[in-house]
Amino acid sequence: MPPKALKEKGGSALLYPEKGSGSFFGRSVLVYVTATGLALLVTLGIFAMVPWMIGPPPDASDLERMVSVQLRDLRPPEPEPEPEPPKPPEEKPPEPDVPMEQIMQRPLPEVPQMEPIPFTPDLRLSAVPGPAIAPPPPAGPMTFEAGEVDVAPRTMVQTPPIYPFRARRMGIEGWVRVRFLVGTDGVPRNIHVLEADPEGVFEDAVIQAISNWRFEAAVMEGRRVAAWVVTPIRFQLGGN
Amino acid sequence: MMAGFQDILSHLSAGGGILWPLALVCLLMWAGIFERLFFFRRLLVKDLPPDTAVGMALDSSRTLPCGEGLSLRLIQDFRSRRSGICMLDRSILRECGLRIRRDLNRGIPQIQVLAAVSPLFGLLGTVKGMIVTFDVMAFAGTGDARGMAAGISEALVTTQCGLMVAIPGIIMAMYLTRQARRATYRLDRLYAMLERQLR
Repeated sequence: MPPKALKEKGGSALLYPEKGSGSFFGRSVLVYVTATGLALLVTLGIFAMVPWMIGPPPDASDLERMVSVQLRDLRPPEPEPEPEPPKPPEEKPPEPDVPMEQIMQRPLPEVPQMEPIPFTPDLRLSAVPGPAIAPPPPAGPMTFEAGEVDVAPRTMVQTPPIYPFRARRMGIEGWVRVRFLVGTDGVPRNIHVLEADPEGVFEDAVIQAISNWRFEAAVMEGRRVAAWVVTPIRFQLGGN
Repeated sequence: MMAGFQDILSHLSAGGGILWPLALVCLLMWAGIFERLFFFRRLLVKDLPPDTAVGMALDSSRTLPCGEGLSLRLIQDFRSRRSGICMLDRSILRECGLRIRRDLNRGIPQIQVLAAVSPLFGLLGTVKGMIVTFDVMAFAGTGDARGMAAGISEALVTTQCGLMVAIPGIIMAMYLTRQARRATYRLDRLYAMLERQLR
């Protein structure tokens, strides 16, 4: 009772504003805290709905699982699935299988990775080991190593190679180093494999892919020239 | 629970920097909405019937019940300042009415602004995501579908979040505006009844 009487007294004074707003304010702190808490919940709820609406991101491993199931289905007719790896262009997987890192890295390190072999004709080239090397082709008067030209060939169209199905099923990763001549028209020629980590697995896919690439021809002293390019291509299985 | 939270966090970062201010806008908006909801609930649901309220206001011998309804606030305010002179009482009553009326609309324009701004944040994120996409295209060419997809998904996620914040916000703002109008109407009616009976 006494507090109420006090309030009445204060209220009847001429300085009335405190009465109404004072008690109201004391309560409103609690209201604000509660409202903020509830708002936090609603905000979390709204932003939790976002991933739910989008659905789980398509995982690379999911794709692999789907592919392997497909292979099992195809197995019973024995001779059919065996020649699959050589004809990859027909069945393009919905997603490029070459992992992100490779695609992202390729344009950048291209220039440093082209090995600047000093121009010691014939000797140096024939000294490179490996039977896969074709003899240095007599590609006209203007053929340069990538390190010698003023502007190295730049990729314009670069489709990723298709991961060979068997390698993917068996979980094989690896890399291939290729060397090829980019002509003045930007078309790669004389593609040959320098080294391959698991040999005989990825070479075909790489050669297939590179023959589809197109380049901007190298420039030497203002003229377009043919130039040799050496580049590694990595094959890595899924996982981001 | 924890996994879900991390999922949200990863999506927040996937949408670029835009989603953080958007989340802040959402938080502020809903804090305002809930404050108003509590306010109107107290004001309108626990209200006295108008006849009783008028009787209580004029008969100063009756003790006021506890509570915070709209009529009760007006009556408390009025009774604590009443002078007993008819003309003066009328102007005092009007002043009390005006003070409460100001409280009724407090905060609603802010909620409307926040609700209207959130799709614009989404749009900003869209533009940013498209810029990222074109940067990737300039850098890696159109062959890099993955890199482009990252930018496009950023654009879409921010748009989606902006809309998902805005839609309930606008609905709630409309609802609160209507509540405020209802309260104003009730206040005006009570005020008119009281004014007629003052003498």
